Order: sequence, then structure tokens, then C-alpha cells
Amino acid sequence: MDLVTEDKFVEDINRNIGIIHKICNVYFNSQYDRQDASQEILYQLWKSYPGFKGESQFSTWMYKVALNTAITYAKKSDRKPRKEMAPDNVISEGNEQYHINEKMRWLYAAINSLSEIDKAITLLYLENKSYDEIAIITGLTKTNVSVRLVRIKKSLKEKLKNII
Amino acid sequence: MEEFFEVRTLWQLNTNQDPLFLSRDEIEKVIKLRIKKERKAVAEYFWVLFAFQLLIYSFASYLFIRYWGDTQIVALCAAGAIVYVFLTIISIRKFRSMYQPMATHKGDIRANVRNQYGLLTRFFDFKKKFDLVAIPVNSIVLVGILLRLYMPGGIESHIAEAMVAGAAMILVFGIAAWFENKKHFKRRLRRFELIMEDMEKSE
Repeated sequence: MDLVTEDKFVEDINRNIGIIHKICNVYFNSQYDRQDASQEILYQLWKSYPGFKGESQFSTWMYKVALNTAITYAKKSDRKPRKEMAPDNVISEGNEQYHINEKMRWLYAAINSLSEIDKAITLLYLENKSYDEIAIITGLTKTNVSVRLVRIKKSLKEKLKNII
Repeated sequence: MEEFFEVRTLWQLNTNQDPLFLSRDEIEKVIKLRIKKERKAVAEYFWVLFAFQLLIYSFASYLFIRYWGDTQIVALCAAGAIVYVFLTIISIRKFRSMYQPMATHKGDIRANVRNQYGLLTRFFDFKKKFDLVAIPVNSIVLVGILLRLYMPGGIESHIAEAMVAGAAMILVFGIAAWFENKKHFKRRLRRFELIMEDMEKSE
């Protein structure tokens, strides 16, 4: 990769850096796996970047590469149910942010219980991607995405009924 | 769906606080680290194979020279050594191919999972075929050499013992290969199969 491309790569990645963190939070339970996978995703993005010709939005391409990496990446630690997400800072129980963090923890746990593909669909849906874009990223048909989303929403609604 | 509006709002409220900016140096550091890790994995695989073969070739060469003129020993040594020449060349080639970029701008998740599954399956198929040939050949060669060197009368005078020892060796090598396959291939392949089945079932 030449210098101009490298600068562009750094700029593009930083504009969409949240994608990596969200995917790692959804797919990996342990802090170690999340850190390892985020590095691997960044590396795969760097390796695949010369192939990005701007035919789609950068974020769509980035989702594709990052999700592909997360789904096929071998986890280092054992697969265990998510217990909790480490908060960035300690927030007292009465604080509004505390309640939001609690709800987020439940939401991540609920998404984590879905199949690998349903996790991807949920994430893309929550990120306001259209059914067309979700179909392009996953390789499923638009109808299939729509059918799956009905099922996913039902499942998540059930799991989160006392939370949200 | 009201609940989903709330879920979406919660998601966006929380995840919009995007994390740290990565500087060019930090990205470079991560990439260098991963390149090093990838090369290390390939190199480790190569050196383990190389060290194992070095042992085989040294042992075979020693016996070859020491017992030059003894047709049986020479033939057994040659057979053992030849089996491993193919392993190094094909294994390294196939192993390296598994480190292609995981996705291009054209590869959706379905295509990529199929591709990764195909790569791993081809490597695993090769390994299974290789094990199928190498395990019995190695066992026969080892038993043949041991009996020839240390048992008066050689293999011809101890057919039953040779068969028992050969079967035991095949069993031990076979169990080791089974565990190795389970750890490195079967679990990963099963995971890919489940993803593919999940994608196919609702089509």
C-alpha cells in the first residue's frame, strides 16, 4: 500500500472505527478475544483495502470484511455465555448512565445468544442498514433477511421483555 | 414495533459514543504485529515439519550408510524418506493458501464462509489421505527396521510379533492423528457447516 492510500486508509478507518468495536462486542465474550479479534479485523481490512474500488459505501465494505473476519475467526478462549461487559468507568447505581449500561449489557447478551448470521443481521439492522444492504453484506436474499428479522425481533423482544 | 424503536434508540445512544481515534502509528503497529504473527504461524508449522523430517532423514541416512548392501534396510529407509518429501511441499503450499485475505469487496458472508470452508476442507482432505498412507507405511518401516536390527532372524522369523507391533503402532499414530484432526479441523469445519446450514435452511 502506498503512502496516499495509507493516509486514506487511516482516515476511512477512523471515520468508521465504531464498526470494529460493535462487531467485537457482539461476537466475542472475553476481553482477550475482543482485543485479538479487533486487531485481526484491522489487519484483514488493511489486506483487503487495495481491492476496495468505491463501488459501495466504505462502511458497507467495512462491515462485510469485519463481519467475515469475526464469523470465521477462531476464538482463542472457550466459548462462554457473556457475563458482563466491562464498563469504561464506574457509574453509581442511581445514575441514568448506569441504567443505560445495564440495558446495553442485556441487549448484548440477548444478541449474543443468536446464531452467527442472525447476530450480523441484527447488528446491521440496529445500525440502520437497509434490507438491500443487509442482503448484499450477508449474501442472503432480501426476503430471507426480512423473514429472519421478524423472527429475530420476536426472539429479542421475548428476551428483553422485562428490561426495555 | 414499539419495543424495537426503543432497542434501536438505546443502541444508537450508546454506540454512537465512538471509541478512540487510531493514529497512523498505532494502525501500523497493529498491522506489523499481525504480519509477524501470521509469518510466525507459517514458520512454526514449517519448522515443526522440518525438524520432524530432519529426524527421519538423519535416522534413514544413518541406517542407509551403516547397512549399505542390506537390501531390506535400504528399501525400508528409502520408503520412509520418500513419503515425507511430498508432505513438506504440499503442506506448506496448502497451509499458506489459508492465509489469503478473508474477504474482498465482492465477498459476502455466505461466499466467504463457503470459501473458508473449502480451503479448510481441501487441506483436511489432503491430510486425511496423507495420514492414510503415511501411518501404515511409517509403522511398517519402523517395525521392519527394529526387527531387522534387534531380533535375530528379522521380520521373516517373527511374523506374528511384527503384525502385533505394527498394529499397535498404527493404533497409537491413528489416535494421535484423530485428536489432532478433531482439534484443528473438525471443530472449525463443523462451525462453518452450521453457519452454512443456517443460511441455507431459510432460502
